[in-house]
Amino acid sequence: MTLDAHTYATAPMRKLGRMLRAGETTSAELTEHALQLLETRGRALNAVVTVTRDRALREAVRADAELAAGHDRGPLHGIPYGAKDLLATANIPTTWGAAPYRDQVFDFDATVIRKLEAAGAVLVAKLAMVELAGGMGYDAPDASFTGPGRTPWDTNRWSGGSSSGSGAAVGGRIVPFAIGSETSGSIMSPAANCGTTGLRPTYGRVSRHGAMALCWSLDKLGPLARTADDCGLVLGAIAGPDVADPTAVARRYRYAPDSERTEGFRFALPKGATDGIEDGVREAFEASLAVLRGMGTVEEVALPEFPYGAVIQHVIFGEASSAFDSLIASGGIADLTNPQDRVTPYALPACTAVDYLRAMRIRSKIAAALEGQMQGYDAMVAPTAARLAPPIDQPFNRDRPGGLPLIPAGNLAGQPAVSVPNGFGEDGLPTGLMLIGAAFTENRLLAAASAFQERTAWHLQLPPGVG
Amino acid sequence: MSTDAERTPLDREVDAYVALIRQRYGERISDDDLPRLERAVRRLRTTAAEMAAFELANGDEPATAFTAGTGELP
Repeated sequence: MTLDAHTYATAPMRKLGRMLRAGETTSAELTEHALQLLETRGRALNAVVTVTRDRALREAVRADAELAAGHDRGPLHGIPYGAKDLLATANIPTTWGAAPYRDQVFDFDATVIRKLEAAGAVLVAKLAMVELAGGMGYDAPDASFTGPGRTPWDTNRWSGGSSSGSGAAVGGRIVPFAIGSETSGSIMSPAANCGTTGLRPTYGRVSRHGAMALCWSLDKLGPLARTADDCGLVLGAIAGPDVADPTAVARRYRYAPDSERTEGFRFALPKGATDGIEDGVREAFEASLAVLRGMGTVEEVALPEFPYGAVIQHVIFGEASSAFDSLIASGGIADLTNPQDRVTPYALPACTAVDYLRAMRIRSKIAAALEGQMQGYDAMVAPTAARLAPPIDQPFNRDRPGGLPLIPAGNLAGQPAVSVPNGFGEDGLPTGLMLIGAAFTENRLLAAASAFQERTAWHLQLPPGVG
Repeated sequence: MSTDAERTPLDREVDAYVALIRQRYGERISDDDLPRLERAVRRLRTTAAEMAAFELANGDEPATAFTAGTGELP
């Protein structure tokens, strides 16, 4: 049994599952591929914190034995994956991407890890991330004790963050899927920069028990994978209520692609979606609009006017300052990697309780307005990121964000979003198309994203030297 | 360096917060760190002013127990 590198790099989850069940490969073989790539390509991309070899081999052997015995746990059975290193894993370090926590070890698995184990998936690595998920105000790609995340499309460019390793490991075809987290852009940004599909679920759809808290009212866990269908399969395994996380909603979730339409979608295009964005991003988006028009209708709408950036800044800063108050009070932030991260948290007296509550009051209005606007539409569409992946050795220019503030807007409203590859800009760097839906409409959103991927081949392109 | 007369209300507010922060964490903040600290404080106070300009009524409640899909208290 010898799985060729191209098949490993390109096969979506359903194909890998068919091969496993047909005896054309084994979970042990898939896992060995992943482990080898993690130690080589994964290290080169700064995508890896810990390779979980022993646990992976144990889970793979079990997966193969179960399939041989007729015990099939479903579409993730035997599939290797990586987890952002903010998810607790029993007796394996969980570093939160930050030097002060590099020796931290929990004695339990996060709910998501536990659910994936129950689904038969094989944990092969804890993946790199921006330190403390970027909540301390970092201003450059180097903000992780494992080094700057590199996109597999150009190792001198940033993978995006804060789920940097999750994006790079999936985009670099090292693992078929990975779990990331998003507070404001941390799944969408690496999905775009690394040329992968990423799903930000509705707030509360997935339990965060065992995940590092950055911002309780915004944090979400979700998959990055090769296709929208793969993301749906993963969401089907990790979604659902959890008594250990009171914010996890009671409603059950079932991924049901066959019950969704494949055309006749109604897309909303916010006015100004391409204002101030890079040429390559705009060209890719305009080409995508032609594809979307072939799938249904595209109507221009006005994004409701709110101070989205200001609101999310105060929500994140207020909650993160509290979540990490002991680290700040102890002076432990001095050990963080990014110089701005070592200073910004001390500014916490400048975010008052009144500011935070004002932000949360405006947030209520934002959520109501955006949910109202989504009535009559399946998704709002826009470029995922206004700019191509930036160089790893330069600070960000936060004064030139470009595009509309759809990432803060969607996160403040708790709405789900999918990012799919939709082209390439200058220097062969990937671009992303973002589809945002009303809360709890992941299946419709994934159906639209899958229909887009049926009509395009951007998600099938491989980075240089891969496959 | 601007004179006192040239300093805006925002400048003075930033100065006041930086002074408070230095009093609280002074030994941990070097002179090299000051521009970064001032930048962080300025961003927070600028965006706080942006939010303050947004009109809210007395009954507009915060999303403190946030439920996606409604934006209302459960």
